[in-house]
Parts: sequence; structure tokens; C-alpha cells
Amino acid sequence: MQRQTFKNLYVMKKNYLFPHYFQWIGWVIAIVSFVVLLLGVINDITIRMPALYVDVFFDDDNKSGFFRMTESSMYSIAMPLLIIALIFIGFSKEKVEDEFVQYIRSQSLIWSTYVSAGLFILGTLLIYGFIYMYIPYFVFFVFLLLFVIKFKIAIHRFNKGGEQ
Amino acid sequence: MKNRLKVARAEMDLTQEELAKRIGVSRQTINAVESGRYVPSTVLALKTAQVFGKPVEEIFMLEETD
Repeated sequence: MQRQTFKNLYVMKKNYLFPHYFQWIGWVIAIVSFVVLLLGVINDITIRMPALYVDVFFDDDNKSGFFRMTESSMYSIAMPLLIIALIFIGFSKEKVEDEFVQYIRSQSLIWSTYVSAGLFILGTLLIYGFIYMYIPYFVFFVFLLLFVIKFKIAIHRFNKGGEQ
Repeated sequence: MKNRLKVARAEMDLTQEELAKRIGVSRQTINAVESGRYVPSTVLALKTAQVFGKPVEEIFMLEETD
């Protein structure tokens, strides 16, 4: 039993990637969520969201607590969608998903991890006050975004390269 | 690692595309291996050698720096 699991992981080359067509689903979700975010910001739309926990800073009317309905911006809808979109775009299989593509993907991930870590360090050293709370969200988003950009550029170069 | 993939291909009159199809990778991967930009896995090296009907050492060989 133990042996079988090992075999599945390493010999059968199990990977955690989505099927190729998820890339297109990802692009559609990305565009939709971007439009949602933009419209939400322009029209200053607020929505009611069910919350696991709400923390209100000056809690005069007892709005803090578990399992509440709360007001939020479109960001609460758009951000999860945008993250899912980036995951689908970056982590679905390429048309021919061979070992060189996987090598490029892992190199892009390493590069993106370094750059995001650098941004996080710089942000912590240079940015103070309330706005610092946004840094972790920003860094995680940038991490995914940079990975996708780096990977797609490398794949594009790779597909163009070569004789014949 | 050096390789004489290009020569072996020429000897058998195989294009990069045909070789790629037979071992289940993209043509660009073959290109990357030939130009020395990518060192293939053992499985891929063995599959490649199999296509040419040669032992793997006749297609791929170690360099002094390896």
C-alpha cells in the first residue's frame, strides 16, 4: 500500500495541474472579475456578505462577532475570482505538457517567490502605518501575477525557438 | 552533458518533429536538448536512445565539468 502511493507520486508522475482548457476558463474569469472590480470601484457599490467573523474598530452598535451579515465592497467578490483565474491560467497543462515545460514552470515559480519575498521585505522595512496591512494581500497577488507573466513569456519564447 | 542527437537524427533522416512525436514531447524540447539548454530526464534519454536503437551512451555523454 505504502509502495503504491510512492509509485503514484514519483514514478507515475502525478501532478497537480488542471486540464489544458482550464486556461481559457481562467482568462474568462479574469476578465469578468476585473470588470466587476472596476464597476464596483467606479460606482462605489456595496454588497452584503455573510461573514465568519466581523471586527469593527469603533464598535458602538455591537457589529463585531461571529456569523454576521456585513457590508463590503465588490473587492470581496472580485479578489477571490481573480486569484482563482490566475491559478487556472498558471497551473493548467500546456498543449504538450512535457518535462521541459514543467522545468520552465518550476523555474518561474522559484523566480517569482524570490521577487515577492523581496517585495515583502522592502514593504516591511519601508512602509508603516495602516496601509502596511495591505502588503500581504498585495504580495500574494503579485506573486501569482509575476509567476504567470514570467512563465507565459518563457513558454512563448520556447515555442518560438528552434529550427524548422 | 554533451549529446550527438542532431547527428543521430541526420543519420536516420528524422526531423525534430518526428522524433518529438515518437517520444511524446514537444519539438521545442528536442530543440532545447540538442542545443544543450536542457538536460533530459533518464526516462527521456532512454526513450530517445531507443528510437535510434543505440545504447544511451552513444547519444548522450558526460562532460568533464559534469
